[in-house]
Amino acid sequence: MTVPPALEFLPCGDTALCVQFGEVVDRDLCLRVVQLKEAVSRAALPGVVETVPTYRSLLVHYNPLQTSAEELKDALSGLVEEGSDVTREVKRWLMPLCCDSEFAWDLADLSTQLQRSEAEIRQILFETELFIYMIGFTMGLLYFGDFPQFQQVSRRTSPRTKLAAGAVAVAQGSGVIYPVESPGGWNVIGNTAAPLFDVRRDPPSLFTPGDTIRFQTVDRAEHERIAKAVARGEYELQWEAGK
Amino acid sequence: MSALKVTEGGFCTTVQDLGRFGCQAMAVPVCGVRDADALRLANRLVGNEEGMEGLDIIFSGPAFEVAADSVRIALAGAEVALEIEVPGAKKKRLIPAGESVRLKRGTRFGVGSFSDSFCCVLAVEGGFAVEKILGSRSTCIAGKFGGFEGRHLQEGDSLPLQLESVAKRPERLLAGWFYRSGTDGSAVIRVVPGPQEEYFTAEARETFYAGRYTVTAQSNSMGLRLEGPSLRHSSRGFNLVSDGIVTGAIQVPGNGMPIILFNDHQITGGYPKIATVISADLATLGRLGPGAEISFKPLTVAAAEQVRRNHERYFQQMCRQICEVCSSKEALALRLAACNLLD
Repeated sequence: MTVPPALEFLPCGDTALCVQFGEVVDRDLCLRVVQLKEAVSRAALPGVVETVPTYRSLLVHYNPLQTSAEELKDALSGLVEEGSDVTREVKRWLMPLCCDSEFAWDLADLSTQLQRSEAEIRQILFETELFIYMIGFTMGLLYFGDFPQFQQVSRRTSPRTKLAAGAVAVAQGSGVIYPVESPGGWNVIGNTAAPLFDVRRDPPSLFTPGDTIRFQTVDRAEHERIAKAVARGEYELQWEAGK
Repeated sequence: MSALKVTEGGFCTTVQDLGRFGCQAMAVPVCGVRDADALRLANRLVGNEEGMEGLDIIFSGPAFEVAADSVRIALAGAEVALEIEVPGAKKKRLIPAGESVRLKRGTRFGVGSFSDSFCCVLAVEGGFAVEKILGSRSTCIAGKFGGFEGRHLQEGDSLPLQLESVAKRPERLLAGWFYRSGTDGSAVIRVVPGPQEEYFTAEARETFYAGRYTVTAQSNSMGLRLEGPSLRHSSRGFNLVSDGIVTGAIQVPGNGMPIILFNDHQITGGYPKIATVISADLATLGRLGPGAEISFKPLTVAAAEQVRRNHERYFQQMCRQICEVCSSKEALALRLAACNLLD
């Protein structure tokens, strides 16, 4: 693999360097970001504090008392050129999702917008293999995609001030899962009781960009049962090994 | 259990260390003390490792009662004094910032008022007996975890201490005044342009470096919201596919008013960032409260890295001026000279 012409190093002050692979949402771009993250972690570059992967770039935090942006650029270019011979184990998470009317606040609205029945929308939700692009914005929040069928679905005109922890929402072909109660402007289509984020667990989030999600439909009673098991620390989210 | 009983919480007082690193990939904010130089210094004065947690005190100070055999404390970061109520004495005993003091059980003390900085730091020998979460004892207000119960201190709290008592030894003080700019309510903050400079018109970039900005009251530890000349985005607009954010990044949303993202900032964001505050100036930034005026000066990355190295050298030199309180007349002379009390 050679360095793609689009690869750019953007300065973020004197303690971070943004390695930008592109400026769009794209699975291949995202996988290259994740690959570089793995390579940096394996290379244990001196002075690197931590790295943050996003849709399209890797933010490399460094200590300027131990290294410099110039040194890092060389090392990182080298890692990108080498490519990665190690393929990371991809996890395909089987995530329970309850679309009871109590949780699926915007399903009816979505049905009207898309001129598809609610059953059809559920089918899309449960049949699509979804890709985790990043964990961002706030603690453990998952950004995933893609729903080409929901591409023209816009965010709500007025964001809600309070969404429940576990809310699953979609807009513009993408999805998010809110791990903790928070405000949000996306269209809520259900709720998951899966363990999403816990500061007392290390690592606090189970998910890594590049992993995938398949939603499993659960009814209200099963949702409750899972929530209680999670609270007792007795629930393990199931996953299958991916390619 | 040994503790500091909180008799007044102050405006916003939290337990903070130098930050929670290593979990930003899970979008866990870094948090940490506003004025890292002050925390490191205060820790040195009480004999701790530089990075141990202390109290980050914003705007107005808390007050405590010692509920341990003895504690050793020191303030740093502002022109401020510990006001200590000595049982039976009419006047309070004052210990200025930059000097450690040992207090016995039952002693009440408060942090006096200060105006040259928006914050100061109180360190305690041995630190606080609060849980370390994900490698840090910093309070994360947004996540309601870390520090003392994930929140700021309130009257009635009992803040647990690691040590039941501290040994008698000569107290330490910093001879000479170390604040570079202090703050007279304004500061020149040095920045590295980018990472998304090209999202702004040439005129906006000029305006940014020529203009003066005021820190507004809408600011908090997530971001300093500024008011001043508006910055126009170029034809590329102001919506990015989200990317990573570093503390000190200056993002500009659609309304053209810059926001400097601070310690508790969100980990990713979709607004273009015109520049990033250099690490050596983050402590200065932390000392600025609402109403403070900021102007920006651009540096290259290499220059900013050099400034940081110089800053560390300066800090270590300063720490070498820490001496024992009673044993050094020279130290006293230095200190008085720094206060302009001697010719």
